Amino acid sequence: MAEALTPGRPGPAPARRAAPGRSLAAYLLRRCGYFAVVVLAVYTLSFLLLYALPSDPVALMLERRSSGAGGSSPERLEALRAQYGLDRPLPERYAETLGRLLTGDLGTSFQSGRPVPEVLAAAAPSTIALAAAALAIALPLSAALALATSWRPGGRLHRILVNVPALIAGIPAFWLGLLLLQVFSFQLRWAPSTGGTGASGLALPALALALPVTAVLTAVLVRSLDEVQRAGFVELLRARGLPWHRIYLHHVARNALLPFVTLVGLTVGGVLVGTVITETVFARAGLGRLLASAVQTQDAPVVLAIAMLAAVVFAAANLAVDLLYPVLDPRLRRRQGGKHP
Amino acid sequence: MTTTTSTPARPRRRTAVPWTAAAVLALIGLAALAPGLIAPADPFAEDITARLLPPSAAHLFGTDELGRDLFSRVVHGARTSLATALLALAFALALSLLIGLLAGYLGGPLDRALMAAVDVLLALPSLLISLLIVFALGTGPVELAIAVGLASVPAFARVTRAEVLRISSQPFVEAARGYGLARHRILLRHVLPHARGPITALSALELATIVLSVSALSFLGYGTRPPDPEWGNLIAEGRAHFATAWWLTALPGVVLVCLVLALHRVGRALGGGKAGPV
Repeated sequence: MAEALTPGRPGPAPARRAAPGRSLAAYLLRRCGYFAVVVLAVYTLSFLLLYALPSDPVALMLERRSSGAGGSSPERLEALRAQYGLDRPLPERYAETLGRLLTGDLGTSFQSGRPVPEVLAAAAPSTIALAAAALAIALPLSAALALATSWRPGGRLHRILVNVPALIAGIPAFWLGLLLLQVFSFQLRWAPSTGGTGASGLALPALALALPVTAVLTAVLVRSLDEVQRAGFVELLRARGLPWHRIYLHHVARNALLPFVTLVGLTVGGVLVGTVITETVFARAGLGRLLASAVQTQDAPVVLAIAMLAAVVFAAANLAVDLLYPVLDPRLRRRQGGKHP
Repeated sequence: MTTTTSTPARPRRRTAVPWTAAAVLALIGLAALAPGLIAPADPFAEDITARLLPPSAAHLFGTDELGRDLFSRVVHGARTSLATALLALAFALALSLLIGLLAGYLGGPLDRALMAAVDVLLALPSLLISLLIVFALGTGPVELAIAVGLASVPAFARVTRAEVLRISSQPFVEAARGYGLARHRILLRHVLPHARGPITALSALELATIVLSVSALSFLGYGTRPPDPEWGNLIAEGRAHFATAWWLTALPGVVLVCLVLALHRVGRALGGGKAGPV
């Protein structure tokens, strides 16, 4: 979780460099470039880890497939290696795999022998539903919790509630899921334990996936709300006699929203990968379970495809947030567009 | 009278030693070093007459499906869990210190290149990085430690670099440079010792995150093999009897949560209350 918490994300740094004389278009172009860089970096990292190491996926696959069927001959091994393109030098395969990915060809699963898109398509809908439900819980919950916490900084409520995110962040996600399952399925019998369809089956896994994310989002929003409240304009508004709830919701919250929106973009990837644990705990089929089992069976094409999917979704979410910035923050619009009237 | 006592109490409270957290850490540390002292029962001794017993005075945490004492297994599992986490922390610390020092001190294009790489990695969910490394290295406690350790390098390296930059801009470093000291000497003798405090605080917080990641990956089955107890492992095994024996999953998790919260607390105390766990 820590990776989302460090303030040093790439957004602010380029923005600082861009100050004089660069237009909005250059900003947008640069963010799109960042998108491409992230996806390419993830591809490179994944490819090196998945293919450059001396483990032999083909031998492993043959071992598994032909256990009992007379074993495997060296010739068959070579033929299979050639079929999957594992006999050629690494840089060549790097370029070729990249080219294939760009044209949408994700390859064939070592494990099942089926095309990877087919394997992914079978698993994706339930994971998308889970991740969407988790975000639908996490966003309002963290906003509400943070707004309640920061209502009166230094108040008793603040002192108590400010510890809630830290407490939730200290609980392992998988154990939290098991705990929810134990309490709500086995003790109270409110929700089905496994395989429930529709909203009732989705509620617990979504909550288990949402809570750790909520903790991070809340902590950042509270910090940002507390900081904005110390700004001079808040004092001025108070002095002008505006009621506090109006100042808080219309002025403080609006200004505090920016880091929150940034972080929401960053958490989308985390939620997607978090399904590895949630789906295992709740025994749901989906991309997360698929990734976990593909790692176990050394099914490199499937792992690569899921890593790329996570990277694209993550980078797209960040791009969307970056494109949203000028809309959300008029200061950014004015500063960058101002030199070109 | 009340006003005079309440005013100076505040700064003292901020620097107070978190005794509860320290006690929890000491207890878990003792469990890792000398498990026999805390739990005399053999963690591997099977007793079919005492299968799946709920927690009682004889078996504090109850027993598992083979009649093994769960408390003893949790206590003996502390060593594997902690050793894996500490090994991961050592990996993370060594690599990120190297990156942070190089980037922060040398600056220029090297700094920009390293930080660009770190930023991209920082953006990725660490679980994904860990899974990719597990794929490459295979399963086992050491492999797991490397996977988790490398995944937490980016966040660590960023902070190390920031610290190095902050210290390098101070007058005494400039003075040392003015005296004509060699760069590596300034870095090791003047910059690094001053960065120790913040890095120690961060280490405690990061160790908490690492403990969580190690247990999660171990829960998924990438760590220690089943007969040996390890916390993530114990919880995963307990799922087989989830409906009837709640203690098998719940109680090892409670111990895990205690450790993580204690590490958070100590990390915050070391950091002077500035750094939070989230």
